[in-house]
Amino acid sequence: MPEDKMVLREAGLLRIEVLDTHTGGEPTRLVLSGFPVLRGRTMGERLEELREEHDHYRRAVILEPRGSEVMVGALLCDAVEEGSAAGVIFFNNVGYLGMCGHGAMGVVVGLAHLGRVGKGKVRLDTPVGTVSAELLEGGGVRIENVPSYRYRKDVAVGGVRGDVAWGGNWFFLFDGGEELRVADAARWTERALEIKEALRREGVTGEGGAEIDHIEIFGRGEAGQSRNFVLCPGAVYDRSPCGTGTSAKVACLAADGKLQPGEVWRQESIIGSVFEASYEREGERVRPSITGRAWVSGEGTLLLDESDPFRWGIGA
Amino acid sequence: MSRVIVVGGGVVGTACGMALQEAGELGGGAAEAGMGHFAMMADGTLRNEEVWRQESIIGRAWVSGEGTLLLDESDPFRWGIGA
Repeated sequence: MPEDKMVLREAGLLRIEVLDTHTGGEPTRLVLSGFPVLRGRTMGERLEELREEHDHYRRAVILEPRGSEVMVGALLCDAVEEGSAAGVIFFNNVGYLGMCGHGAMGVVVGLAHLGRVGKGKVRLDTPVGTVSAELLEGGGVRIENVPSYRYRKDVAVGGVRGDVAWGGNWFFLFDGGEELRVADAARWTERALEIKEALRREGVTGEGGAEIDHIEIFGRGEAGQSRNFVLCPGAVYDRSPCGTGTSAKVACLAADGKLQPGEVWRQESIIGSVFEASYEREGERVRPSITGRAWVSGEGTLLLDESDPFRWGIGA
Repeated sequence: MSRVIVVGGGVVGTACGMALQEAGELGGGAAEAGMGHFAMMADGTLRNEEVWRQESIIGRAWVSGEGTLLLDESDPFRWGIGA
């Protein structure tokens, strides 16, 4: 190789500055700079602009070789509402997310690491509205989720019986009948995919025919507490207890009279990380608050060389 | 019968074996367990005890990021999940 080719060429090298966090094991990559400036005045307009004109930036950040299918991306923008700390657009390996519970916790902890927010209330503008969060003493983050409810109870599908509930996403929740261990993740993934296929085959949906794209299996952890295994769209399991999945669970517990308003429900993930949830009644629905912990795990710069055929991701 | 020893691990050794097979030079043989080294029997072009040398496959690599991993002592997964 000629010597001049071995020198890193700064021209033709795009830099994207990121801050990596994880929430109970589930990663969120905050994008701090390097994306095109979005001109939209609302978060919805900015999302459309990113999706229509700059989607390759999402792929560069999330897909291999720079990212992974487990990761959620969070593009930080200026706030659009007065009193909000930042605007944020969540995305993953297949597209864009309106709101993401673990992601919002990661963003709050990331903003605190950057010195942009302190302890107390933090408001984030997203394409689906402003999210209220609170950075607690001791490092926890509480997120107020959307109104949640159980849509159908005790539905027989694919040889199991479970509930259909909304917690910001549609879930089918059922008891796996045994201890949940991360060592069995591959087997639970297969089981969840079977149930997802059975839901499709038997025409079981959320309200209005909405696809149930999250499967949530319950069991006990090693210490006997409630543990879940959540399979997200894209066949990747959530390392955290899943903010929307925990909300869906709380809605079911409330509907069964097993959890009272203000009472705390501890939900453990398949890897043993914990979210604490409680709710207030809001008409026929419940308004869950989810508390978890996130940690910063890395700060760095993604480098995209114009000669690199995979600079916009593998399979892109 | 000549004995051919292909020296090289993994993809290189396999590539040699494939090349010999496609050229009809591989009369019979056995792939040994382990690092993908081949010991095989072949007729023809290669002489007894000759060593087959294969140039490495040319590839390119790119730097894709620079950064600092942060391990907070309060983070239960600072040493990895499942560790």
